[in-house]
Amino acid sequence: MNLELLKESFCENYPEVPDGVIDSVSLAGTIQFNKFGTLLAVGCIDGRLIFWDFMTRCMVKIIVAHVHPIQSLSWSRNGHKILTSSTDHTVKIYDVVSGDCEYVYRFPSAVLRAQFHPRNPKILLVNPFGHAAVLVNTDGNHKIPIPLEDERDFNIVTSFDRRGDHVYTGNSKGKISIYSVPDFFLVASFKTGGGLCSAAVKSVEFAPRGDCFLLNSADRIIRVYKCEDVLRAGIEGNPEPISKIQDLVGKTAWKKCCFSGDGEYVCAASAKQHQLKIWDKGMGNLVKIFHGNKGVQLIDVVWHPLRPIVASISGGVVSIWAQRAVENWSAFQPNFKELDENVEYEEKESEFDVEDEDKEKFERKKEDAVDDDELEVDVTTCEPIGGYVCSDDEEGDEKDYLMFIPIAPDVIPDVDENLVAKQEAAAGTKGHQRRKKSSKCVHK
Amino acid sequence: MGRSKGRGGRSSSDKKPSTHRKTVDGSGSEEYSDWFEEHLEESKRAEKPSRESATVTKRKERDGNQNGKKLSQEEKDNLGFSEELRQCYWIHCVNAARPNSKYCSDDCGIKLAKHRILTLLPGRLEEWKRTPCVAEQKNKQELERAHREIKRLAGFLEELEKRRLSLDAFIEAVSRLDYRADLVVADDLPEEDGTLSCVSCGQETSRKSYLKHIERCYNKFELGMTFNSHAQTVVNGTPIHCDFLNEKTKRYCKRLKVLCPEHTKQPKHRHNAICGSPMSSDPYELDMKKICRLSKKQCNRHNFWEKLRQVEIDVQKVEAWIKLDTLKGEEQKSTEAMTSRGNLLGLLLHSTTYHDDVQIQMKNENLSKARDEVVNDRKMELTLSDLAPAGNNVREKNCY
Repeated sequence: MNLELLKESFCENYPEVPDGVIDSVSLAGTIQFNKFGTLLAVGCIDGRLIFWDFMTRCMVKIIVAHVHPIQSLSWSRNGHKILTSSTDHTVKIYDVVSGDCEYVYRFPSAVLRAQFHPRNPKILLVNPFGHAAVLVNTDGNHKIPIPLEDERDFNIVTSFDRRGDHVYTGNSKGKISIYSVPDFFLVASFKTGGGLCSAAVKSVEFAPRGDCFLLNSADRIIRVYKCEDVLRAGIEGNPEPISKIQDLVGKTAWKKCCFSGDGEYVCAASAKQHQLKIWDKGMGNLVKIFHGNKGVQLIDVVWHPLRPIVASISGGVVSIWAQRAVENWSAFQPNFKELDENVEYEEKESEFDVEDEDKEKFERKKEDAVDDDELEVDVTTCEPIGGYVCSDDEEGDEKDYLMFIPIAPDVIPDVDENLVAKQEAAAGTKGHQRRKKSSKCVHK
Repeated sequence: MGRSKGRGGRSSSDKKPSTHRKTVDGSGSEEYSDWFEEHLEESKRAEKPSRESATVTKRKERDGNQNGKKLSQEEKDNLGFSEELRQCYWIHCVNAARPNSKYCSDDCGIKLAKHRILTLLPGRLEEWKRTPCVAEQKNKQELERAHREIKRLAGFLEELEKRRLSLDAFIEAVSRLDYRADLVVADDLPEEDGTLSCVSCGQETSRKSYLKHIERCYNKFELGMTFNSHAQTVVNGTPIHCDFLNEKTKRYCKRLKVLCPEHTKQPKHRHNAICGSPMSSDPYELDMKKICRLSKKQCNRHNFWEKLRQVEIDVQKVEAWIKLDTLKGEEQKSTEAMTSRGNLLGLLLHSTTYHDDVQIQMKNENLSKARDEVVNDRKMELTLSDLAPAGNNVREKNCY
């Protein structure tokens, strides 16, 4: 698909209508798109990790990752590895194509969030429940705890910034501290709400493009800042947010917020009703509200990195919100007219002639000359796709990126249960046997 | 078989004498089959005179042919395909073949097969031994690798079992300890304020009861799914699966035993029990000195740690079993491939071509020698038949 064509500059870049549902077998708990939005990883509450090919809306892989619900997912930079964290105290790194678990890290408590470093897949930022956040280096297994503002306050949220140069942490008093990586010098800090009793920070999210981040606070206000402003303000600074987003009418708390792929819009999921709201980042005006089924809670929301598509989880299924698909045939050629019914076309005298007999001879010769020249047509160089390349990406990354997971078509043989039972009974006297293959998993 | 088709394609007029042969085009089997056919044809021609009467009588019985003359090849052709009698395929046999068969009797068929094997097999065996088989080497490597992995996994499983037993002992020991307020290291525990949203149900829960809520939520959703199978799991050591037999459906519950919400009762803790979660810096170290000393009721950070640690080991066991299964399958595949390589059928059906001048030359020499031998044989037989009583017409070769 030609990404430039899709990014229609004349219409708004946010979704408008619901576009279907992705239903995994297990109930979904958390989702993440990979860097180019071709794969969607769904972490379920029974500990399974399910990969969906987003283009074809097809399940491509299931990995049984944990025994407890998966709390968070993070794709590595080249898309080959995925980091999962769960309430069973572990953090695991899986290779996406082979499904092998490469690293397991055990923590003293449930792990709420784990994140790959945006540039370096060897560095992880892990946020366990009730303990300090740590930076883990898989090369050598070093664990460096992130310094805490308040030694008693373990209720913190952490995140890498877009490039991975800093770690932003927010605590329950509304204090944001920014540490540089990897030496953890305090680079800047400020309090949301300007020094008075501030509300706890519930999450920190960064825009995939551009230089902004948002803070979702317990006082139900989403504050959008520019990283530049914050860093310039320094320690105990007082940077101004570029916009404050809140629901003045209903005072809804926001469960999860995210930026759009181009960083222009902010999407937030309401904690009470089943509602998704989209605001323009610069102005802070509400541009769209999506209503879902009543009575179902929203659990997670994420924006596609390249296209105006939003995926949200509610009731255990992933709902997709996208733009209305309009057929625009006249865009292909200027004098392409759409007809309502068949029209008899009357062609002009020399319209479909191969050679134009009326043209002057010398003009014809010129045409021929131009046609005959052998033009060097370059068919081997691949232009990097503008839409995919980030401003500071290196060239080599794209080639290495995992866009799709290869799978073989699943041929489910008709298992004759009696036959299987007989076989098992016959072999049953030997030790060391597992019968997981013939087990069934059924939803009541 | 290509051979019979070839025979069918030719009529008597096209019969090629032995000297006119197809050109050698480097394909071994074709050469052999050609040579074979002609060998067949020639020997038949030779044999016919002596067995003439027997053939004639038989045909009389079958066709009801009154004049006693044998039908010429053309007349036979004209009879129509369905009524046409073929000669038995065995070289030295001049009987008519049974209907729907190439042979007049099983005996001839077996003789022909034996002759075929004896003629072709030695040459093929030579060919086979000439070069090493790449697939064989690959299979050997795979087999070795599978064996190594199986061995390693078996050792790993034993280690896991040991770990599990030591963990169980540790849990047992810790559960006997009593809560003593003086031993609690003043950790300055953080005030657990604020709320978190549960990942399963989406509700906001206080941080104090977050882990308990997660566990309850998880059990609730697990009860909504059944996971069972026909057979019981039989393993050495601690049982992995719940294996609770459901009387109605006759199936065993296949959840992990420690986690099964339906069939495993939650252990009740004593009033004074302490949390006991290992707190040493090495997460796998089980040190009685470095444990969480809060009472079970107080501690909010380490709920259910026993279950989770046990289950971690169980899950690793299950993964190891799955891998063992796949490895055994691979091993079986490799051994099957190796045992059925270079067997009779394979050798007869397939042949390797060597695009090497020396070897082709050698082959040609061998073949020409064989040809000469056959020609000499014929000559001898013909001279013998000349001496036989006159009136016996040389029976035309019957070929398809």
